[in-house]
Amino acid sequence: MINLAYLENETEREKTASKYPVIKKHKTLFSSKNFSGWLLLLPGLILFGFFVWGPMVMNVIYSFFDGYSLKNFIGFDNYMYIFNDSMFQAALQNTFYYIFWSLLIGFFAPIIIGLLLSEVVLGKSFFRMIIYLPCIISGIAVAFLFKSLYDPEPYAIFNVILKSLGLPTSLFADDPSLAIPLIVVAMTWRGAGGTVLIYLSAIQTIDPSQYEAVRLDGGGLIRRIQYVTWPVLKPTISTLLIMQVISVFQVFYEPMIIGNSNIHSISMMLLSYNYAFSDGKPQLGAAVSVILSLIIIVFTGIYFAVTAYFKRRHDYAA
Amino acid sequence: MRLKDKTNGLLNFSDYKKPRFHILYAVIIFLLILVVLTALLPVFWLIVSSFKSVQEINSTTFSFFPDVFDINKIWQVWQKENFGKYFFNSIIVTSGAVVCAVIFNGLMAYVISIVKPKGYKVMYVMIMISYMIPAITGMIPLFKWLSDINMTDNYLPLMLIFGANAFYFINFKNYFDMIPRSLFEAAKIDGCSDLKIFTHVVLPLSRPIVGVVAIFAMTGAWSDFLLPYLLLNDSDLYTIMVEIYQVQNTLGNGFTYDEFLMLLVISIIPQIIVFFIFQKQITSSASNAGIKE
Amino acid sequence: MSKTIKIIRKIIILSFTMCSLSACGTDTSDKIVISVGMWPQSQLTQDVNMFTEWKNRFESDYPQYSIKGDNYEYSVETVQAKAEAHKLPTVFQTWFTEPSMLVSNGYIKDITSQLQSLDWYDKMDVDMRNTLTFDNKVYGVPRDGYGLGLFLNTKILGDVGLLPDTNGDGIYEIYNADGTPAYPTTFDEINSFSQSIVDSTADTKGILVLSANKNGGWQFANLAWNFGAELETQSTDDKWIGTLNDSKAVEALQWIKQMKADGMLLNSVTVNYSDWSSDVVSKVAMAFVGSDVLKLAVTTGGMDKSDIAFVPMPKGPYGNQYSLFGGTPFVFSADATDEQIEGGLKFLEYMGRSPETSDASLNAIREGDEISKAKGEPIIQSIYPWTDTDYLVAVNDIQDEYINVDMDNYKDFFSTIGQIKKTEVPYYAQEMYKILDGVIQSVLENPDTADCDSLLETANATFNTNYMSTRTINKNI
Repeated sequence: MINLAYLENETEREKTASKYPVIKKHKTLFSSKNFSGWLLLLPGLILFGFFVWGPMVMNVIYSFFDGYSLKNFIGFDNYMYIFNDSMFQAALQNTFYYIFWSLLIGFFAPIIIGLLLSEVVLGKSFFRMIIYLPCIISGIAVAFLFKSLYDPEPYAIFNVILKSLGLPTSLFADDPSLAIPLIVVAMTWRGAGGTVLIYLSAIQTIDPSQYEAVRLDGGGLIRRIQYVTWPVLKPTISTLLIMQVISVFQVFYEPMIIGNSNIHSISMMLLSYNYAFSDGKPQLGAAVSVILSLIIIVFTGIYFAVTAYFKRRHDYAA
Repeated sequence: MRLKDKTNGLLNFSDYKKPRFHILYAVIIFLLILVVLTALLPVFWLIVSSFKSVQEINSTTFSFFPDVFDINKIWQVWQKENFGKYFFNSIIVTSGAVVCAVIFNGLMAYVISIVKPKGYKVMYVMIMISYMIPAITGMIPLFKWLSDINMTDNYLPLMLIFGANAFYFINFKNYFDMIPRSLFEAAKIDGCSDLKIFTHVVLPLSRPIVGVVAIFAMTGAWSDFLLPYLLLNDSDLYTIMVEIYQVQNTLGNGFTYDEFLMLLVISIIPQIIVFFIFQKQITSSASNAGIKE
Repeated sequence: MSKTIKIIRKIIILSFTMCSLSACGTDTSDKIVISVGMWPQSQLTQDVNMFTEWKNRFESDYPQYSIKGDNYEYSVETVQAKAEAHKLPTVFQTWFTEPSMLVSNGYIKDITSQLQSLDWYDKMDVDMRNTLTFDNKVYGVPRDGYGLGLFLNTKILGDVGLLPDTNGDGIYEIYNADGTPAYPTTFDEINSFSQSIVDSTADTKGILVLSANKNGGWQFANLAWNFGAELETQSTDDKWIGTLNDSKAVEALQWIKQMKADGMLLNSVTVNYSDWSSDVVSKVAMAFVGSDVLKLAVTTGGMDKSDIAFVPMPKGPYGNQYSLFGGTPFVFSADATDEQIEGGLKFLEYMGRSPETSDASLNAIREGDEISKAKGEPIIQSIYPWTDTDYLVAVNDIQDEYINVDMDNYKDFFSTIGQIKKTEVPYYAQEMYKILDGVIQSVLENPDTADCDSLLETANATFNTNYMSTRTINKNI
């Protein structure tokens, strides 16, 4: 353990250190630092290489052959097959629907809930705890849970509630136009808790004196949000926005279990999995993975370019 | 704290002097109660349904509560399924996963954040790229590799994969970035090697972030389904989530739907218990997770 | 010197570890090891005991073999992994839909010569053998057969007044007092029965129509046949094409559409075969299911076994009547040696799954039935995969001892199955079922506006382009 008292004599130490031939020491330090640094990095790199980068590369390779055995190079045939497959077209379209609905349903809710929660004086930790609870339940368990909640038969719980309110019964996830929104609801139910907490802690960093300033200027609730809350939340919102989109690209369990892999809710990842493991054609699954990865990279690239552009404009203005 | 003592936030004590803001507060609380109910009701319904008999579940008449509430059913289903075995398996995998998550990601974050050997930026970018690409996309080639080297029916890959997680890495890195550099210079002048600095300086200071990552890894590993499902073929090795999926897949070979629901409930309970015990750490760490500088 | 010794030691240890790792795959003992994938899961203690008993008998009669239990619950995802890693059990059970894929991927082995040397080849039911034959080679042994039929929940039907209770014992019969069937025998009768049910009950529907996980297409194939359609035909010599757009198939689809539009089917659009046993308890009164899964209505659904009846598939408007027929096969891993295959087949005898009538074989059948009885399962007649007369006499005797249901509820099915059985289409059945799933789901989603003609036209075009025109494997028809 470092003796913190030692640090107080820092300037003393630096003075003594400078009396020594520093340059040579730095050089050997430098090269051995490099070596030991890389050595320490090695285990992590091996793991990343094996579990993350290697598979990424192999996906590209598999997508150009006709099977695990890599016997026949078939160029872009896999991609041509996929582009002509109506399931792929559906999955691609669905991906954008998923993003749209998740932004609509799942993006604003946590912000609002976070704001509401920050205003509570009594019981905040209780609310916080319960709201986070769905996050810790396993994704596949949540999928099963919502599958039974979304039962389209008239005696299922949600339809019974609808009937008692005098509303017509619904097919829920079996209704083609409701499949994706309902799945997004399930995803939001599960994931909102964590996002709420992130916003909450961002809000709690706001200095009350800033609100005071606006209040003294005669600003009402809206002004306070506009001039104080919003600027503080903006970076967090921006980060969480892209993180949410990336996670929506990965949706897999819900379309598999709630949607039964049907055409109205199939996602790219589920399509890839079905190609590989249900149809026995891993090369198609690999190709879909490559396509999906490219889409994500392009998306993120555009996103960063746009935010950088706006930041530059903002910095110029400031 | 009472409303009239509130000093922080959008609304403070001066607002609450006016009665209409009291109404606003009531609305806030009401909305939050709705949110809490939304969070709780599905879980509650699951628990309640799992106590129903199979005929009740399959009937066309709706009932929220079961006819008979037999608390022994939990134990009966547990025994019938021999759940203890799968529970134990999940504990093993989760423990290993947590250790891997902390050690490997922590070490990498330490090197990238502090040691910074030549070329570290390249590594950093590569790790960040992998953050964007979903892990599931790599399943197919990964699965093939592991099959080839005979690592199926083996817990090691399931644990090691948690050591290559960009999210945990980012968490560690952000935290390490905030440790004052002077500590390291002092240690180096004392003659500590990089590894020793990690074990003697960084780790002791990192208890909060280690806790964060450990809890994330624990939840992640416990709920993990896809890779265990593909990799584990010997049913004695199944983890909880895989076994639950198999029960659902083979309903009729011994288990009925209500028993399946009960198993689902049983699988969630440990997570909930851990949550209640560590809830303070979990909720505070989850909120810190998103904060970048 | 110490350094070289250290290095040498390391090499020795390394090579030992590598040897022991690779030894996992090789047979180090003198015995021929046969791993049996049908071994039950460890929780099912009664079954495990029974299998262990069989193993002991077998090993004492044939000491050159060693039986290893290797419980393998077949799934499409895992069979690839296990095959590529050469970890498939020597013999395992799969679904009857799989052999085509398993053969084309090279995962299972041809056992024709072993079957012939054991004299089982000719004793195998010809239809079932054909489903396992590719390029004149047989790739498996059928465990039992099944045929599609019409499942009836007699309690629901009787309570509505559709079935009589002639002897007043509270249990409904499916025959009228004069002996004529009271159950539905045509599609129109299914319609009218469903109408009565929907009218007289709160939420119970008429019949279950499947539509997901390839089960929809599988069931629809039978319906199409009963309307007189053929889904695959041979146009010119050796050229097979799909004919999903056959006008009679369109009629079958329209029957489904009409039923849905009239509110006789469940609301759900994705109906899975795995749910059927839960659904027939009170959500629907009838279902088209296979004869091999009837016990699930009791074990999974919780029905009383006396409320179950199983009758032949209904006749279509043009008088056609077929029952889609198949058999659950046992197959052998492509890595199995000839000795292992021989041993595996012999072990099947000790499991009661062979045409042999030895004591070991018949006792095994008895023991299996005992366990079913203990579990409370309904024991019904089976469709046997072997046609040897001695065998049939012996098993029918055992069956008579154990049947615990009123066979009146089943007799018409079992007496007609021999004549009306029809094996599934020879090529790309699974792929066809998947495409038909989409068609049925479209109809269920829009029962008022679906255009059955064009749906099947498109489906047929896709099927032919993607599959039939790329065919490389020949079956023995």
